[in-house]
Amino acid sequence: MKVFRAVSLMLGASMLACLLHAQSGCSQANTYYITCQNQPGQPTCQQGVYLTIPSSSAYGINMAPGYVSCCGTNILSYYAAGGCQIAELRNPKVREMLDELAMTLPIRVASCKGRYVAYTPTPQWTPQIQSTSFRNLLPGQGGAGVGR
Amino acid sequence: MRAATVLLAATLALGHWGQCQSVTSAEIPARNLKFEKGDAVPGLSISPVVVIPAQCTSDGVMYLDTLKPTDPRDRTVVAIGDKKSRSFSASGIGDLHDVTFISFFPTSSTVAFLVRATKEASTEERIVTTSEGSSVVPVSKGEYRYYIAKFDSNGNYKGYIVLPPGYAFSRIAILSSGDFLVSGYDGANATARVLRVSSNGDPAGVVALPPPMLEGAPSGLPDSPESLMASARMMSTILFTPYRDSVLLWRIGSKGPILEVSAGGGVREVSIQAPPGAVLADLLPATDRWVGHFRSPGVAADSSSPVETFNGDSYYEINPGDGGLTSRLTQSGEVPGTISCESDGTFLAFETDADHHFFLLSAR
Repeated sequence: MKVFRAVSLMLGASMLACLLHAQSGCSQANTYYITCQNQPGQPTCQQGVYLTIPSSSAYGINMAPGYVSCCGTNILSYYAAGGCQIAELRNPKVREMLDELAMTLPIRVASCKGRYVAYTPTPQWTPQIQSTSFRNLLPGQGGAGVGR
Repeated sequence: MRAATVLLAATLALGHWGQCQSVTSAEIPARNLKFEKGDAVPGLSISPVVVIPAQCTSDGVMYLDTLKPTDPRDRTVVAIGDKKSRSFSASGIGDLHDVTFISFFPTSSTVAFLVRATKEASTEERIVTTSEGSSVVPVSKGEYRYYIAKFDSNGNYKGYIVLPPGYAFSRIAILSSGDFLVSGYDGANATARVLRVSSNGDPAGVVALPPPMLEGAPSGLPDSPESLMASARMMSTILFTPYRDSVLLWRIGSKGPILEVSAGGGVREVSIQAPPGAVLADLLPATDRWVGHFRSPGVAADSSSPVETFNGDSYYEINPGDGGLTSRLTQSGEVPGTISCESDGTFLAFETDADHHFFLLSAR
């Protein structure tokens, strides 16, 4: 448990650095690649995993917290958990129209929390990292499971 | 739980997201805005899609250009103030036909729409072929032009003026003298223009634009789809913001400059000190100050994430004299993420809910 805390704290520090700067213009990291390995004396494990932290522009997709396993340690990440609560904006045809419109008109759309945010074209938010890129980039190491 | 280690290397995995960069704001005093959320405005159902910037008049009324998600041509301007709302629609323009709404600008007494339309009511059938096939559609026999349609503050239509030909007009502003500023793309010369037009439609001057405001002009064939798209994209970034008796002319995604156009048409250019790595996302309508909403490139938006503090946007008050940053605005309370405008020291923002209720948020 102590070691788990150490991992969490170190990761927390990494994220916190960004969060602390967020108000003053920090670029918003979305996906981090981290590597972990066991302490001496433990069964050998060296693993890399991706962590997804939602950017503020994750409009239209509810991001839910979950955990990624890295050498047996569960680390907080996020995964896509369904569409936005604004019903009209879930319609793919509406999203296509907004994609086209946003090319020449600065529009804001209501986020899942009802706040109006700059519209980001849909493809950017297809959450593929955890299921595909991870395994492709790290063959033979098994995927880190994502669960709640 | 298995023990794991201390070796932990975090790197950014995708080039799309940049690195954290600190804005050197140490010398700039911070000023906190504590937002409070009002009750839902009665009778107002707000669209989940709005076109920025929001506008506010000196009497504290907020105006939003909303569009229907399923039909982006269906645009309605909604005015919200003192827990009441009213709507302005191009459908109220009775003496123009086939009206396409383009943009608008409000003052406390007048709301002006920039529209493209024809005076001719009669139509003829023409075959229109698209990628989806051919169809017969009614098309006006008349000439299509750009117009400024005027409404009073209660939404009653008061007539139009016709704008000069040769431009694809994009945005509009009203000077306190009654003259209009209109931005448009001059296709013949492949450049952006801002014209001053008198209240009866006569040309009254041209605002010379500095080079940063002219970047991005299309270089291809004038009438090619690519050129039309590029010119529309460029023009959509040149915006007007009211400030006292003047109108500020600026470009979204830029680091300035800002042009202040006075009631008489005089122009003052002010270079601004944008925070390092940040560009203008909005210049808030304000009655007694300049307020810049800045964003770092690559950061697409603001706070829709579950991590509430993950907000790359920043707000600064700007000295209108020299363009320096005078204070950094932080948010607390019912944090809106995006601030819309300022009126006599009160900052306004808004949000909605799943049932499209409209909530005004305010902070002093």
